[in-house]
Amino acid sequence: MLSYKSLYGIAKFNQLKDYYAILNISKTNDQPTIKKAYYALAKKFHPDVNQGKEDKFKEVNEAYEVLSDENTKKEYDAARTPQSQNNYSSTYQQQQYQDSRKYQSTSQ
Amino acid sequence: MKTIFTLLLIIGIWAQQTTNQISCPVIGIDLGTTYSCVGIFKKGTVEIIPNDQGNRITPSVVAFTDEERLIGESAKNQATFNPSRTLYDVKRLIGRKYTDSTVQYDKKFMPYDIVEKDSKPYIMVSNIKGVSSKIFAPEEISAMVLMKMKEISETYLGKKVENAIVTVPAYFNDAQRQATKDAGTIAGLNVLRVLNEPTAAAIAYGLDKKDGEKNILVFDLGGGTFDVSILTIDNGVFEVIATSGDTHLGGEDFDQRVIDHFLKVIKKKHNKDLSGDKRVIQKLKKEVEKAKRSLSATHETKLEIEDLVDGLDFQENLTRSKFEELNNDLFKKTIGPMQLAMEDSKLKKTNIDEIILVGGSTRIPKIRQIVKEFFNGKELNTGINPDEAVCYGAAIQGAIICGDSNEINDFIVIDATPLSLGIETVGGVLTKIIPKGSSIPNKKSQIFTTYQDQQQTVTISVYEGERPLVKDNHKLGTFDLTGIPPSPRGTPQIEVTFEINADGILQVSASEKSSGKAKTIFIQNNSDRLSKEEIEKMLQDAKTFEIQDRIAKEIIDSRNSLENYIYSMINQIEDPEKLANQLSDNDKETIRQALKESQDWIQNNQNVEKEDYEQELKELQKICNPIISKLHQQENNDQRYSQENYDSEL
Repeated sequence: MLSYKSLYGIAKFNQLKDYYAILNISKTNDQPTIKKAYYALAKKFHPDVNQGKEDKFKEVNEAYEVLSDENTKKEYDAARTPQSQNNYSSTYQQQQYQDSRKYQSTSQ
Repeated sequence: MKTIFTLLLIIGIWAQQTTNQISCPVIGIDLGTTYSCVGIFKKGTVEIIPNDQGNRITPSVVAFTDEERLIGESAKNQATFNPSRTLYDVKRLIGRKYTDSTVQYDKKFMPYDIVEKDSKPYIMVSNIKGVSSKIFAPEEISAMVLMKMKEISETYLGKKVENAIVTVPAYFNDAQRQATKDAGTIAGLNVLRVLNEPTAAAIAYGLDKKDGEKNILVFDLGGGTFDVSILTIDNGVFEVIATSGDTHLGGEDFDQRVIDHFLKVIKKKHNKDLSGDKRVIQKLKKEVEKAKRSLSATHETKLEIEDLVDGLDFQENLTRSKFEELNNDLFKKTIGPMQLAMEDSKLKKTNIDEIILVGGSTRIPKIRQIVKEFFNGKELNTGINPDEAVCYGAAIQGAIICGDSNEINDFIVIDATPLSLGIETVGGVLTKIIPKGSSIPNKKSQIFTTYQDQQQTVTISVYEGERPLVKDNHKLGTFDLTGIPPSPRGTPQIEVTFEINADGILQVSASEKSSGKAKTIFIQNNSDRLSKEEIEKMLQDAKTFEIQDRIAKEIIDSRNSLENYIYSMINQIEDPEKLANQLSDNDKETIRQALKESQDWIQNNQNVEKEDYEQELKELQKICNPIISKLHQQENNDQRYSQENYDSEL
């Protein structure tokens, strides 16, 4: 048998990214606004209508996925408040550590 | 073990997307389990293109006779005479593994041979002209149907067609999508998009809807597959928010239940077990399909097959309620996916503004009743043609991609993944990277790390499905990332990236970051997919078949013109109203003799070339034509004579 080579998973969203900015809106809890912004950008960047912009569209999708789900949005908003940034600093390493602990507790 | 992935090592650089502008026309093809349809967006509207028989849908059937290959109607029509060489329902095999339970189930009922090759189901056909027997991948048979649809559109448009949108059930997995795309390649088509069928139907429905946001549910029950999709449409944006279904449920299953029923009836009444007789089953299948259709309008119907077997005339009644009873559990299987899609969409039943029925099987009254009851009595939208809606939408999507028209400039379709995608982590757990319902195209990365000290290799196994443990999900493939610098467990940073393109097809890459150098591995092929070489070979085979088809057709055409000439001559020389009374007995006998000889020649020369028929026709004409033209000349002279007389009288 092969040696055990499985992995631990980490990370759900990237708190360093400003998803509101990506969607071209300011921070809001109003879902219709978020959706409207997403549709407008989709019309602009969807590969069907704009073939060179697939990566941009993927980024827009990522932002919308996080913000359109109330629970993920809450987590994301919390992670980006100044207080939480002070506590855990905003480095990638820290986020990783945090999430990896979360993951381990559920998967083991 | 065989290498199942093509691994490409690229350091640091991501492949750039190509940005070639697609040229019109782009046809839309609904490649159905039982029927296919082709359409094109032209001058602001979709035209569904009729086939050479004038029908707007073409059976997805391919047959091999002693002389030729048949595709479409001609193939379906001869199914009862030639059951083991008539291939249908291939969509139920495509992209599946041989051991798949649905493949094993179908193998029991299919009149053609399903064999295993590279752990995939292939179809074995014997007595093919020129090659005795051959095995075909399901992709090749689907390619033949696609080629037929391509040809239909080329005849109609009067020009070559290269680009196409091909639809698939929304609930098709990665392997089934890839295989469908490969079928297109084998058919010589550039498949620009593998589009989900219910999404296509939604486009057809929503094309002229500009009145604000609406949530619609598409209930798509066809010949072999079942899909439910929930979409939000808003001013030209079509966003799929949830999808569910069953890739092995449809009209063919309902037919099978009725066939089984009648086989039992025959056994009871006549003490005959016909369940192994392929010809009988084909005859029953044809009649049962007809009965099923009529039961959507009437409450009782009669099935009659003269000489079903050994002089046994089959005659039975079937009531709608019996039909419903036989299929009760199958009909109810549509409820689960509806439930699931509703849950995923996070909408309430009352939030659904419109329920759209697509697929021939939604004509079944009981199915309609089940859907209506599920939505607490809400009226169903039956305003779109259930056979053509998918095709219609595919044609529109084609025009969107090639930028054909101003009317649809403002339309976009945001489709979603039907199944979650992820990798195996410690303890055989599926860690989802792209959850189901994610918009496509999509890209997601996650950082993983090692589980053991000094671990230098990680195995990345990719799965799709919803169950928590990988063993209950469908494995798409696996690859190793090696060369991780030795370090304590938990230190290396392995970034795994999943990318789904607009066809819903997945690409996975992994890189190790802590060493400062990124190694990226792309999955370009998986074990379920045909290799590049195989596809290339099938493309060549397809061309060979095309040539053979052309030759076979030319032979038939040349024989037909010879036969037509003979019959028209017989008709002329024997009919007193035509030439019978004008020919001398001598001439008549000469012609008769020559015609008889030609008829005998045809009888005795079954396997000859086109040139031989042409030669025979020429020789026959050499004998007959001088006699006939002599007669015509006389006639002309007579006419001129009478004409002159007439003139002189004036």
